[in-house]
Amino acid sequence: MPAVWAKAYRPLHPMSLAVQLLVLIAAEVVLFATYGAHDARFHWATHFLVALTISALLLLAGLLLTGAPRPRFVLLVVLGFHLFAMAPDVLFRVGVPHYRWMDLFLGHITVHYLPGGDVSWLLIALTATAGYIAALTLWLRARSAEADAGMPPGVGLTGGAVLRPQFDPRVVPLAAEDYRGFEGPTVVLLHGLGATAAFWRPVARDLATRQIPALVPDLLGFGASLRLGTHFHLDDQAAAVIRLLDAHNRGPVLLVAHSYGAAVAATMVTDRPDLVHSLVLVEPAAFADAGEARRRIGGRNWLANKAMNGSQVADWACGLMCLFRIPLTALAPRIARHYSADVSRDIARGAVTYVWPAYRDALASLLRDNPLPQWLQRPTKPTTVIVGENDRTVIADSVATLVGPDVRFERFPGTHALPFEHPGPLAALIALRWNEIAEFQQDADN
Amino acid sequence: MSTAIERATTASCCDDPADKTWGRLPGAEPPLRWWLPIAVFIAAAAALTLVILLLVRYPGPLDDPDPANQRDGLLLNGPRLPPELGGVTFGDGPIVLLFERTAPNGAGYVAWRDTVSDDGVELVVVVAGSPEAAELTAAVDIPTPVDGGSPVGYAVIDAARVVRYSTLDPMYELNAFEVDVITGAIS
Repeated sequence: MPAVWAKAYRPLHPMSLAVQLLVLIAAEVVLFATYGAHDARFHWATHFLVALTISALLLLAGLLLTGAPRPRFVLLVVLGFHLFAMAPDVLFRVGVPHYRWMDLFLGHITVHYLPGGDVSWLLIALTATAGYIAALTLWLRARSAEADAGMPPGVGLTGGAVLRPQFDPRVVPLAAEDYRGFEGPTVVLLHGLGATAAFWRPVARDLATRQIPALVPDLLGFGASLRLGTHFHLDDQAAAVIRLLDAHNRGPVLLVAHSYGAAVAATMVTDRPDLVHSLVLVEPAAFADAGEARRRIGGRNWLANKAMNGSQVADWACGLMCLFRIPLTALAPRIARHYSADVSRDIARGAVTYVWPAYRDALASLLRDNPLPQWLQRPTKPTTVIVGENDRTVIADSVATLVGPDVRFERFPGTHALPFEHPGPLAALIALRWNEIAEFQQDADN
Repeated sequence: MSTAIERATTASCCDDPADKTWGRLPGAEPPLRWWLPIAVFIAAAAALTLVILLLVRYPGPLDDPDPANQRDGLLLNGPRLPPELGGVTFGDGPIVLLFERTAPNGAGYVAWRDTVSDDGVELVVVVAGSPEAAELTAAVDIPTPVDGGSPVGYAVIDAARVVRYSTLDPMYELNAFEVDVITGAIS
């Protein structure tokens, strides 16, 4: 048994649960006896069963929304709701008759009128509790399976990951779109936050028309790699891309990355320089310091702002989004169309197809371990940086102060969405760099 | 020298304080076996079912067929009685009409009577079988018990002769305080 219990596991501490169970039983025996003395066990039963139902539903919602059991004292929640539900009876004991408004106490008046009475409430309470127990059991099994595989358990993973284990990224490779059948080095295109391979699809297709092979992965926890991994820091993402390239026997490659993907690229090339020939970093998430990172990324949207500030509201909001991912995925293209005509259906869907910890870990990485400022200052591989002149997240002038003399720096008209705003010019520039590598390799072969 | 992949599965997990806090560490097993919640649930569900089915009293012959309507504690704005009905004069102050099948006696009843009437509330015992009792039973709209016979319970009529409470309660001797709450609220 651990000396200090991890936060996610504290509500399941066996000793704590045993004590809570004893307290709950003792308190309920006293309440049962008190009601029984006045021939009112019927009322005890109704309010207890209602409290049990509400508790089970809220605990289930908490598990589904946060990806971990909570609150800390799960069994005392039942007792708390029971005491709340029976409060009008305490008031009655001190001289206040019942009124209709007392339904505020978990329907204190109305709940008695359910057809079937306590037997109906018993069935409802047991069904609700069984639902929570089923979800908790699946959560425990999923986390055990992950731990048995040597992975960090996916606590905090919401959506389907609550009920089923994530795949081990050391066994299952990243999902990737492979534009192959052409000669020459592969262009690997890495997407940024809240995106998927679809973000680069217009560029990849353009490159294919130029006979340039491309590999476009969904990073861990994003898009078709949604079920891959339980831990999503830069090292994890970089290792996953390395495994993918090894599995496809590609390299050295031209590594092209957008925004957060650029941080993954810089980490990856540091770990495995042999796999990368050169880099094209499009609107790299490079900031002078953590404060600027917070301002710039937090300014993108409400969710990013909350996440950057470590707000738990962001956890709940994302849990809710993951819970309703299927309808949201269907709605996303319609919503996106209101904001920009350039956003394709796939890109819009990709914006909601990720597990929340992947997003949160990515943000944490950018604040704590961002290798980009150092890389841009002294790159060990040929590097081109492209920034959008109207980008409000990665400010062109700000990035310009970070790049060293060996970095080629290009400005494009556009916002923080250059890969789908201007796929043609971007693909042309990537093709230029690719030709340089191809020529270099040809010379080397000769 | 560790590879990038090895570092990704060990070092990066432990660098982030949030990982340790949340238990997102490689190989960290959940603290409960997956089957334990099911086992506890089955045992608890069986116990709770037995308590509800065996220990909670269901309507007996003298009770209201719908337990929800019995001793609900809600003040009524019921029918207004005439100044005199069934030999009882209404309107001078709160009156409690106790409906019984036989004349009550014994220590339990005496204690109940003393508690109900100690604040000046008039108590009238209505024993079933007389025309006056039938008249009063109909007037206060007290429910008919499961066995279809005469009611055992009570009604509370305020000084304006309005029926403010009317319930079956075959165990009324246990609950004198309930009558006090009702009469206290309308006085």
